[in-house]
Amino acid sequence: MESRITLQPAYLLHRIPFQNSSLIVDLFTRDYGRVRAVAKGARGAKSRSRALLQPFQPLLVSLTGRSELKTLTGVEAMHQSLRLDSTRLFSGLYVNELLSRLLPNHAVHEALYGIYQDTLVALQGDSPLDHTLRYFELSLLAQLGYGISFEVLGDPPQSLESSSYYRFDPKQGFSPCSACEDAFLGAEVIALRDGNLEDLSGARAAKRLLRMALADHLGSKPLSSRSLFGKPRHSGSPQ
Amino acid sequence: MNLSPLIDELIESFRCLPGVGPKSAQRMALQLLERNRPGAARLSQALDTALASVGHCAQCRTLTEEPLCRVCSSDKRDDSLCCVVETPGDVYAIEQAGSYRGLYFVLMGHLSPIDGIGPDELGLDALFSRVESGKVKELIIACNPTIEGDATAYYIADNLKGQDIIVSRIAHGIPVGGELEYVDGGTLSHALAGRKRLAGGAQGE
Ligand SMILES: [Zn+2]
Repeated sequence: MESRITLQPAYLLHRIPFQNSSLIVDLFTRDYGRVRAVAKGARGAKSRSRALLQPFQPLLVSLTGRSELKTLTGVEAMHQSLRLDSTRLFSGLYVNELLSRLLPNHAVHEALYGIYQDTLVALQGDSPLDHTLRYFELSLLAQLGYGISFEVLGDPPQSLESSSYYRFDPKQGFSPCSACEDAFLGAEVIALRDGNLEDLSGARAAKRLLRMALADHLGSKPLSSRSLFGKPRHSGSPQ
Repeated sequence: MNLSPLIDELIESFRCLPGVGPKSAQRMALQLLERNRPGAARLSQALDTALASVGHCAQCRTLTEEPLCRVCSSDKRDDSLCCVVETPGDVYAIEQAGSYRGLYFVLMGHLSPIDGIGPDELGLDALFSRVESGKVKELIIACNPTIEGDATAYYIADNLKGQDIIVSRIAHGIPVGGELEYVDGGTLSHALAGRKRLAGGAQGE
């Protein structure tokens, strides 16, 4: 990575207070992936960067330094901040928590950056929440190299049949099984593969399947943002 | 050079104060020991008693040495109004502004899932049961205008939907005496979104 980066498009994922008036910021940059930097004086009462260093604000950041931890030398707004309300804000926080748990430092993820940005824009609009989140989860896994293989285990692998039932093992993949509570109906898995999440049982199955796939990489610590979707009236919960 | 372990310990202790580096900590310690021993004794006594006696108000959770803080136990306050703030410092700020006559609820933080702070960690149930107990007619959310403050405000409002209570949020805008030109874009768009009608329109406010 270069020692000087200028006006790089980025989003802030996380900020942690550092020393008296500074912040450590976790940035998702377009060309350099996830980068950590110190924003000196950013918590000071007169700091102009304090208002900008917020999640969902499209930024242009300038960084210097040769070590892992960079120094933020400049920050500007690229566009107006995305405005997320209520459940859509919780969904945005969920997406950020997923990224901050799974995205490695200093690995270039330009495609994922675009997907993340599209997800935020979709969250700001009135797109169906379930689709947006499932699509993001699916793409995140694929971009990080953990993509779900939509085939039935075997040598050679078979294609999924819509009327058959399958067991899903996040490490292995799909294997045929009898119709039980844990099984996925082929049609539901095919719908997820093809991005058709209109029908409710399919959407529920997709949520359960992706949750299993993500859990394999998230480890035992639960995602805290899921607790924001506690009430049943939030139909768009990523739980 | 280690001149005195006791003085070193005192200097080190001052460094827990915000904004105090090694140089100022040393100045503070030496000043107290050299020139102001009565002041030092008072500081030490005050710290000791405050630490031993100050806890949280049983109703609003702000810092107080009494079971109920002075605001909660006052009969001059409007108990149908409850202002939700993030920290005891926010209570001080609003009290010093002097125009608010209602009660408070101090969150002691804000929702920040990425830091592992969800509704349970924040103890929001205490707020909801206070609302359910019935006296509060309007909840004024005065969380900071940050993403975490927004999330906290939405979460509280969402969970009180359908209840017979007004939930409002304080306006964010241009500082009094400020100049538009120097205000950041986020503040400006908040200020525009929360504009107030001065004249015109059917209702003629
Ligand atoms: Zn109180």
